[in-house]
Order: sequence, then structure tokens, then C-alpha cells
Amino acid sequence: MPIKYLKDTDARFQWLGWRVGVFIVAGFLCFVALVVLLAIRQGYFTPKTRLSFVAESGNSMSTGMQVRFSGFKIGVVDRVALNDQAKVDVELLVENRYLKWVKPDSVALLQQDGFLGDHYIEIAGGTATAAPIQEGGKLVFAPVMGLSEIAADLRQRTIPVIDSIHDTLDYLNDPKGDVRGTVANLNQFSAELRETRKTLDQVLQHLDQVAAKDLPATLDQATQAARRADQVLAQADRAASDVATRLPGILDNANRTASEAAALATTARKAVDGVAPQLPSIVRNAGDLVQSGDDLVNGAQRSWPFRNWVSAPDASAPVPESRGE
Amino acid sequence: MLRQHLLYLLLLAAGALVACSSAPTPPTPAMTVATQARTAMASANRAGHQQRWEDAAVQWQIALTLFQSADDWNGQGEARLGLANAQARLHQSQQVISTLSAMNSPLFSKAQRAQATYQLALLAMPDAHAATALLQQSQTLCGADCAIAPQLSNLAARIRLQQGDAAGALQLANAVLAQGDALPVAERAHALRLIAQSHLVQGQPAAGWQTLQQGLALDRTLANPAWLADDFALQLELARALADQSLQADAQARLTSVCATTDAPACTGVRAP
Repeated sequence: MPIKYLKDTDARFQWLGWRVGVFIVAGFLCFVALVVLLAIRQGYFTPKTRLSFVAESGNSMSTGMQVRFSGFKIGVVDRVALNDQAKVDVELLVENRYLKWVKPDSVALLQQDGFLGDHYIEIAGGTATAAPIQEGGKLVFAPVMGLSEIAADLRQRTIPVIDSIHDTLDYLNDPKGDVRGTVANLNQFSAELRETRKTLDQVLQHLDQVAAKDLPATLDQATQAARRADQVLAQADRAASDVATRLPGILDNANRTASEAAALATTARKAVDGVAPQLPSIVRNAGDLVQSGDDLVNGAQRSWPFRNWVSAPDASAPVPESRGE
Repeated sequence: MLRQHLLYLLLLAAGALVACSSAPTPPTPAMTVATQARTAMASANRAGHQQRWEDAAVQWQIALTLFQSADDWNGQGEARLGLANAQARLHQSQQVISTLSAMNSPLFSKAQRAQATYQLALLAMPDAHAATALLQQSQTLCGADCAIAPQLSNLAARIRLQQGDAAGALQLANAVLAQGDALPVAERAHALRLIAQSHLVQGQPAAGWQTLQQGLALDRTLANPAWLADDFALQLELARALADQSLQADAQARLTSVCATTDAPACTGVRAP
């Protein structure tokens, strides 16, 4: 039996081992309670349903991003992966208590909090009377174009139309081209016709005055004039038929160009209509952002120790120098 | 023991910091408007320092509108004076008159009305008669303790010199120089230039040359090309009066060089190489 050489008489050291043990156990229990509480708050123990959709691009999508319905968080993105078709499979975990509002024909949208905020998936739409979506259900993903995408889309649609208009105008304006050449030929033939008519008029006017001996020569002249007129008319006819042959093509080309221009105008209008409602809020947000930054800087400038480093802004009118400019 | 004391001190310091920190009082709408107006004025002054007079005019106009909305006449006065200055730099004479004429009201302080009349006098130059009348009004309004007295005296000297009264101009400019170190550098340089020109008119080009060199030294620190051109034009006249070919060539070269950067009145007829 061990002999106890020393005896603790100080009451503070009695049951010391037990007291330390109780303290450690209590601390551990608090830690576990905290972890459990956080897990509950994070929704780890909430039953969820796995849904999915396929997106064209995984830009701004990441695991853990929020899934919202009417602005409320109803789940998280669990997995974002590239599939064999070079598209992006996105899997969502939606809490079961919110599943009643998610319908098989609901749409998933990629949205952003404000101008600079986080991205999130918004689930919207769906037939109100339809049954809720089931485990493993697939949603339709509707990408929302940002300003840069709208601009790129507009550019992609616009450039071929502009090129086409350019080609058509080049074709119409080419001095050696069919259209300009045909018009020039027509002008020339028209001038020749006028000359021929003048000659015929002269012949007819003097017909009654010519002597019998001049009649054959006059008739000969008239015949030649008539032949020239025939030639000119034949040439004019050829030119006109040439124009007539090419005209449908030209008109078709012009028609196509006009249709493309109209489509371009419609697209541009849609794009502008799509963006226009956002513009005032974007400008306001930017203004608010600048104002907030300004307030922050002003506040910092008035605080110690910055106020000692920054001179107060001059907010009085300057006195112009007597020298002038 | 020492560690315990240090710990207490740290806790006390942290407590004091927490106690002292408090959320700022929420601003009233009037305070917000005043802050916005002062911010606009500060922006206007920054734009003016960078010679961006269109921006400055816009900011002064914003400040004026804000002060008008808050019925702040002192702020309105400052904003009108600043706006008129920017408009004058943009050569918008009619707008200057319109902006400053509205200040002919006792609701504005006498000092502001004096400055408004002074700015109108500057605008009236080179019409010495109109400028003199406005200058007298300004001097009357400004009174004895006048913050813009050096500017008024220099302008008076400038008018006298234009009217051919070199002695009167010399007296006024010397009085400006006598005001000591509180005098703005630009006004000191202007006074020295006026004295140099008075000496030239009085047939004392050597004295004028000496004084002008002092004015030039100050003007170089201000780096205003219009004023430098003005100085070099006078330097050229003084060199001619002194019949010194070397000084004349020097002044001509400097004038030509600085006139390549400005279209100041002194540069009329000066062709850059």
C-alpha cells in the first residue's frame, strides 16, 4: 500500500482531477451542440430532393450557390459537371417542404443579386395546378443574357446583314456592273432614238416639197432611217430584256436585304427593349455605389487618424485674379 | 502580477474604445442636401484647378440648385460666384452677367455682393469707364475690412494704366505690395508687373526691367502661360526701350515659345516657329 507522504490541506486542490474532467466534458458538449446547431441552421438535417437541369455554359455556376424561389432560399446547387455533349449538368438539392411549388414545367434561371452581387438559381413559373416535381426531375434552364451576351448576340446577327447590304450596294454601284452598264446603254439608245425621230420628222415635213426626182432619194433616206430605227429598237429590246432577265434577281436580292434589315431592326428593338428597363436601375445603382463610396471616403476623412492626413476640400468660390486671362 | 495588471489595462482600453465608438447620428434631409452641395462645390474647385471649366460649371450649377432648394443664401452666393467664374473662363459673358446680376439683393452678404461686382468689373474690361463704375460699387460694398482688397487695388491700377495715369497706377500697385506676406502670389506678381509697366510709361525702362524680373519669378511658379506671355511681351518692350539687342532676342524667343501653348492676347501677331 503506498504511503501518502504529503497531504493537501488546501480546499482549492480537492477533487481537482474531477473538476478538470467536468470542465473538459462540458466544453466538448458545448462544442458538439454548436456544431449541431450550425448544421441545423445550414439545413444538413433537412430532407431534400435532387433535381437537375442542363445548361449550355457553366459560367457563374458553382457548387454551393443558392437556389431560390420567389426570392427565398429553398436549396443549393450540389454538383456542376461537364457532360459528354460538352454541356453542363447541374444538380440541385431542394428542401422537401418547398417542393410543392416546384412543378415539372418550372424554369430555372441564372440570376444575380444586384449589380455586383452573387449569382443564384431562381426557380420560377410552372403550372399551378400541376403535381410537384419528383425526385430526379429535370427542369428547363432558361439562360438570361447579360449585357455582354446581348451585345455579342446582336453583333453576331448584325454583321452578316451589314455585309450583305454592303455587297448589294457594291453590286449596284459598280460602274462596270450589270445595273450601271444597262442604265448607261439605255441612255445611249434613248439618245439615238431621239436623233432618229428628228431625222424622220424632217423627212416627213419635207416630203410634200420634194420634187419627183428627189423622191427616190428621199424614200431611200427614209428607208435607211427606218432601218436604223429598227436596229436601235432591237438593241433597246435586247437591253430591256437583259434588264428584265436580271431584274428579278436584283429585286430578290434587294428584297432579301430589306427582310434582313427588318429582322435586324426587330432583333435590335427586342434587345433594346430587353435591356432598356434595366438601364435606369443600373445607372441608379452605379450612382448609389458612387455615392456610398463617396460617403465612406468622406466619413474616413473625418475620422482619426485620416483627418490629420487629408486636407479639407475647398468648398468656397474662388476669387478670380485681377489680371484676367 | 505584472501580467495581471497588463491584462486589466488591455481590458480597460478595449472597454474605453467600445464605449467611445458610436454610430453616427442619422443626417437630416437638410444636412444631406448641404453635404451634397459642398461635395459638388469641392468637385467644381477640383475641376477648375485642372482647367476643366465645363465640368466646373456643371458642378457649380448643381451646388446652386441644391442650395436654392434648401433656402441657403450664403451657399447660393458662393455657388453663383463660382459658376460665374467658370462661365467667364468659357467666355460666356451673357451667362456671367445673368448669374451675377441675380446677386443684387440684400439676401446675399455684402462680401459676396462685392465679389460679384468685382467679377463684373473684370468682365467689363477693357471698357475702363464701365469697369471703374463697377469697381467703385465693389469697393463701397466691401468696406474697410475687405478680403478682396488686393484684387480691387490691382484692378484699379490696371484701369489707371490703361487710361495713361502711370503715377496713379504705380501708387496703387505699391500699396498692394505693401500688404505683406498675406498677399496671394498671383496678386503680388500682378502688382510687380503693373509697377514695371508704369516705369516703362514713365521712361524708366531699367527700373521696369528689374521689377519685372521679380514678377516673372513669381509667375513662373504659377505656370500660367497667358501671364507668362504677358510678362515676356512687356519684357520685349522694355528691351526695345533699353535698345539691348541681346535682351530683345531673349525676350522674343521666350515669348514665341510660350505663345506656342496659348492664344493669350499678348500672343497676337506672334508666330510660333
